[in-house]
Amino acid sequence: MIGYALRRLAITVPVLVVISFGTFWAAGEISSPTAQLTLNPRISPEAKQAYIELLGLDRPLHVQYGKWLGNFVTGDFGTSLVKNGQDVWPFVERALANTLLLVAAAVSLSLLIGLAVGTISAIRQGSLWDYTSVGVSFLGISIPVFWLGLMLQLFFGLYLANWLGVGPPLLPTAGIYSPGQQGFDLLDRVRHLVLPTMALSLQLVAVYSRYMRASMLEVMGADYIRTARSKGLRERRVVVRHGMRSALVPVTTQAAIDIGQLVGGLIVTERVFQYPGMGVLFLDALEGGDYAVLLPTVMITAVAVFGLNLAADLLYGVLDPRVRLGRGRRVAARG
Amino acid sequence: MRHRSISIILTLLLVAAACGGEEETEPATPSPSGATPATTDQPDEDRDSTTSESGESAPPADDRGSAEPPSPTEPAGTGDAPDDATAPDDATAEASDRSGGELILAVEQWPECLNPVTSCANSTWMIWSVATHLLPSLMELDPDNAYRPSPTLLEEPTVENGGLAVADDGTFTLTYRLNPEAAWSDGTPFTSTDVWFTWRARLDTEGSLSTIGYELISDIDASDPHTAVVTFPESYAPWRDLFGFVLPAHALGPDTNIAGKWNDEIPISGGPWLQESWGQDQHILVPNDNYWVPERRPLVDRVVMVPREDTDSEVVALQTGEVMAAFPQPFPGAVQRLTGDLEFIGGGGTYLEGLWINQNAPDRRFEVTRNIRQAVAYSLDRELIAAVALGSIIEDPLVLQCAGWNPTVGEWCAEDFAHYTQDLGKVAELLTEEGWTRPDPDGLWVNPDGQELVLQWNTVAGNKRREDVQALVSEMTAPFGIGWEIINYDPGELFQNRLPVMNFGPVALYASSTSPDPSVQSLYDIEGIPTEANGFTGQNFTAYASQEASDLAAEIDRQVDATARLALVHELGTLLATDVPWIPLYLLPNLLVWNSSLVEGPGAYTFSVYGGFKDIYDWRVIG
Repeated sequence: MIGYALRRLAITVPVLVVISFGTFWAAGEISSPTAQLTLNPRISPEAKQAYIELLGLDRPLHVQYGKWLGNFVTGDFGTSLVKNGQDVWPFVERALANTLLLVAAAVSLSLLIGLAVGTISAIRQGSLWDYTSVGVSFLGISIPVFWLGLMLQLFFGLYLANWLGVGPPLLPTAGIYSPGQQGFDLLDRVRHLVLPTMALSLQLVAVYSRYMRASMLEVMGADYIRTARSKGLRERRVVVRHGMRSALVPVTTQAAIDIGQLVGGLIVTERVFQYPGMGVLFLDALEGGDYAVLLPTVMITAVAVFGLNLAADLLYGVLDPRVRLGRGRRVAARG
Repeated sequence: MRHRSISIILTLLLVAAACGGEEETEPATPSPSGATPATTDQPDEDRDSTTSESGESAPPADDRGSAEPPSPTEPAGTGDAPDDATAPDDATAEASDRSGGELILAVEQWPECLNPVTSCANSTWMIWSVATHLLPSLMELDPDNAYRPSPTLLEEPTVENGGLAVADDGTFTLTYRLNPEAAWSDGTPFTSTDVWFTWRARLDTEGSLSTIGYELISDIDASDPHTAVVTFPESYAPWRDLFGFVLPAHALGPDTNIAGKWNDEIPISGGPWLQESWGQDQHILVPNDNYWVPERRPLVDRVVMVPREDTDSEVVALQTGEVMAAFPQPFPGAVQRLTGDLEFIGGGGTYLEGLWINQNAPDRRFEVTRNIRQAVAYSLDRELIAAVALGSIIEDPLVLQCAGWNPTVGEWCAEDFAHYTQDLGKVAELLTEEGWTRPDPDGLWVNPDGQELVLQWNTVAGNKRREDVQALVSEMTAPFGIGWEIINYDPGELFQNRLPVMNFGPVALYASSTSPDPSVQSLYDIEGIPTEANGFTGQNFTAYASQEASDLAAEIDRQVDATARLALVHELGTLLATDVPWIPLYLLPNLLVWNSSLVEGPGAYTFSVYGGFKDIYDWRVIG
């Protein structure tokens, strides 16, 4: 396992370097790091030169990149000229924490529901439940998040409260705290998580339930399941202990990959719910030409995607006894 | 075990996220005072304007006047506070008039930072949501965008009261008589030292966004704390536009370079409100009980502004009552969607949208001559364009007929462009005169070099209103033999990377706001054409190189007499309508929306350059 992990890392690191270089180059093309300086004649030549030297912008591209990468790896994200010289890290830290929380909530909820729905569908293949869940899954996959978000806002924020004749909306439609709230309030924070989590989860539940259903159908027809049944094990034990464990493998790895992608890919959900996460930070940086924020945002997303892909591969080995990472050849030779 | 691990991870994430939020909402040190709104020809990428704030190349700071603080006056903070400024009885009396409650407002673009001198002030919403409530001005705009003395002044400087004077050597002296009752929220008197400090901060701050007008001041005499005497080497007509906000010298000084200060708080106020806290999630204002203007003391206990950057979500938040009022960009279907308890006022506005023609465009295939510019103007049905662009937002959108810098208040805006209506004969006459032919009567005009009359046209990608206009105009001008190559960019690319270095067009569609009393010279000065040689400084973004216009604009800025100035303005307007450096289209309306079951009082400042929230001190929360 360790050998496999190291080999994967050995492949992943160069890919990340290539991606980071591409990102570095592209960010510079999209948004000049010195735009704020060159556009403002009242920034002194000395200050401009100092900033250029700080970033190594007077040196070849690969040297600039090396300098930036060194700083990035050591956690020095620099300062943003667009934000009047403020440190970039606090903005990224806050956005990252918010996004991770949303992703964790959505993926956890989706796994919980998706696995249950998929398993029941597989066990009751061809039943009304199965047809209904498959239909709902297709619906879930097809509904665009921006529309779903808006519908959830209207339903929980407006219509439901009107029907029930209550004053304030049952669930807040945007933000991470109620206006005026200062300091940490767990309940308020959780209430603000509900709608974005629901919007994000619908598609994930649909995907996971489809995966789980297909996986369970395959597993439940396997020889070892037949063997388990022939030994007289209770059906519940066969399904949960032997069936679900194997069927979980593709779903779990898919969830790990999803988390990586969601870290940087929640632009629509975050925008609709005014949720201050990485997607909104990226969008604002792109629109505002904030080179200093754009770079770490993209890089963190890339690292998350690759890191969680690696984690997914490793998890595969842990969850599936048939897979022995790093010893695949020996297993094959024996077979 | 696995469940427990998941719970622990979730809890840790929750705490991590919560800690981030807590930091943002940490209340700022409550302290006094405020500042008033700045005028806005600030660029705003969504309302989108041009980068009109920055501009002229200015001499080094040391050449612009004394950098030493005025010696005869002690720093304002050491002075005695006027009795009224800290009078607890008055404050208590006013506080008893307060109706109470919490006002919750939606802010469509959250400012990146708050420093009012640097690029932070490049955000119109920084002015509308922050500066206008905290920082005092000298002259201010009323709801009709007309200048009047603010409460910091005893009177408006005029020739009659000696406030405006031109000496024999041409020196122009502007004397502000400051209100001795005016004070910052910490009780420190508002004095001429603050005026002097603001002047220096505008010039000396690294990365100051704009020094327009300030760099022309040769000195400010602050020897009398209650009188600021500002000296210019020659007359400066748009003086009312100066000191749109004044900074507290005692809080920010003595260093007049304030580049790194006030990034995330404005702890001193000279306005009706005090800033309790500002973060990425919300901005909280509470009444400034030391404010010396009783009629502007806030009626509510607290104002909370929250970001709502998505228009659909903003409307839902208004409908659910999560926010009580919003000042959104006008959006299609507004009339149909804003129903029930939602009331709105739409119209007026301070953003002028039109076609800006860059005569130095790097991609032009042929010179975009005056005849071509006029031909384009004669190929447009601007009434129809305005109706398509704004018809679903307001009834009877206003078609602009004056040059792009003209304030739409008072008598500035004339009917200079009114004769430009669709006229195929005129187009043919103008183009034929320069050798263009139309081999195919249904095709494009072709010049002697065989090039077709196709102009590159840029605007903001994804802006539906503008893209609709592009589609309409493309169709509209085809029968006139004029074609378009449409290349659109995201706002950052267009307004930050291309427009300032003149790398656009030759035609661009965007909106620009202007001061109600603008400095005109910078806009039409030949020296003000941004070029590589001058480091792309200057504001003449059409590269309109007319000596006559340049001279007229300079004369307008020097002409203090209002009647004579207006005559010059119209003379320039006529010239611009002939040379057509821009083609006016329509005035972008402002839109103020509020939930009438939750709040009463909005509306007075809907059309103001200060934004619709300017007078929130007069708003009441219902219930």
